[in-house]
Amino acid sequence: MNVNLGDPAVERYAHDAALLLYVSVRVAALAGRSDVERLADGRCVPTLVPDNVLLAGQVQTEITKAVEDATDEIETSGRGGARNRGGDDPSARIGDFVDGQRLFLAPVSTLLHGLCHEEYDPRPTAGASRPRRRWTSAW
Amino acid sequence: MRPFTGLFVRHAAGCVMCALFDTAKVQQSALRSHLLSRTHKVARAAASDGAVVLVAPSARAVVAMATKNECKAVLRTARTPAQAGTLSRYDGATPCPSAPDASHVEALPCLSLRLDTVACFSCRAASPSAAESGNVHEAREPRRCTNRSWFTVPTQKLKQNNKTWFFPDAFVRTPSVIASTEPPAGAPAPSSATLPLRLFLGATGADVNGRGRGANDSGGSSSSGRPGEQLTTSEASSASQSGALLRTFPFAETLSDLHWTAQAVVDNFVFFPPDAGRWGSDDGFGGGAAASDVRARGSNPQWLLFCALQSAVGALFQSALKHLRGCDLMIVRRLAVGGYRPQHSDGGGAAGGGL
Repeated sequence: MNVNLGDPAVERYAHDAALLLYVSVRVAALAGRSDVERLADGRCVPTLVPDNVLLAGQVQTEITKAVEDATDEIETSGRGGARNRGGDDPSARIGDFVDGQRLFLAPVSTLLHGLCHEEYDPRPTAGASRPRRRWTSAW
Repeated sequence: MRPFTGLFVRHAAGCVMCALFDTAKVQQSALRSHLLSRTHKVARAAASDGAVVLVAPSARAVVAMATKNECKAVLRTARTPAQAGTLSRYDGATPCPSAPDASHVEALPCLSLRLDTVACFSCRAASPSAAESGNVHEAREPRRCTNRSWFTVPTQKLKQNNKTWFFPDAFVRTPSVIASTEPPAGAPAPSSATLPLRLFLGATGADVNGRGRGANDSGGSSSSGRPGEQLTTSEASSASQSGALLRTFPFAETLSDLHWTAQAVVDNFVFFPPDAGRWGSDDGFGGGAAASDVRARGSNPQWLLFCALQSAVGALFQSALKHLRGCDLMIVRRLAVGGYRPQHSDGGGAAGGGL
């Protein structure tokens, strides 16, 4: 990160980092599917390191709890609540509310750190064993 | 839990799959002969212990728990036209796809997968490696295939009677490299999801095929990235352009290695549920709610997850930047935050796309 960056640039970094985190949480969720679901869906995803899979699961769990709390809170407080950065957009207000939940922030921070040190091994794991015999077949 | 039998009923095609032999049985007599064969008994015994519990020959076979009676019942019943149509697609005589973008058959459950098969769509041959494919193309007589544009595709092996054939699966297809990325004059702009992945990600050929890290290491603000998306900071390098973490993180090459298409990326990471609105519905690709529909967004868990992440990361970054600005610059340089690389001689060592 360049220390000379201004706030708008930091927001841009934050947006990209949020995308990275979002994709990682989704990848971890998709990778947890059974073989049947994966074949039915027709796509495979890279495998994250186990620590990051665990953290992604925590993020997913905490967001579910926090969103429920935030929805209740916002419905209770109405539009005139203290947190009203998003105007009429409830998702921005919910996002702000969830941001204040320590149980959500902690795994997000750790997951971001973990992803910065993530290394992929893109070699396929399924069907990786090759037969000893030469095989070539027309289909 | 049901015992492992090695058999799987594929209702969509009205047939029975044997996970142990990568084969499909469509007739009762064939299934009976197969189950009575010594090779099947030996393979099944090797794949399970005495209590017919799966020892785990492979993860794909764990669903092969159909009983003999279930299998017989399926084969005894006359197939519906839909089942017959599905089954016919896996007949070896069916014309196979002539291009990576052509229609492929769907993957079959329980069959072993080969993810790294090199295929020539011109002569429709599959080989375990590019070198092997080259040897086959050189040796094939009397007519050689002159095509040298091979694709790494996933294939499944299917044994039917005495024939074994490999077929490329529908998923993780490689997008066509020869597809035009420019719409004809007067035509509506294509959905970004139909673009080749390389262009969809906004990456250069070097980013995807030449492993992006190397390209990013070269520095220089004009070596990659889309026009108009470069930061205005004087220290901007290719790694700190738009994309930032997404660029330094090898998403492009990973997705390329997995043979994800742009459409697959959109399908997997779309914020809004399909058919919830008008977005993208015109071209038939994964539609969703309009971005301006704040009510739809507010009730979408995926969008809320992203909003919460963005808010949380923004707070983390602001806090980190606040502390960083309080540090002496020499200390900052020693921290080697993100993309600081001492070999850069342009004095922009503190710049970079990492954290």
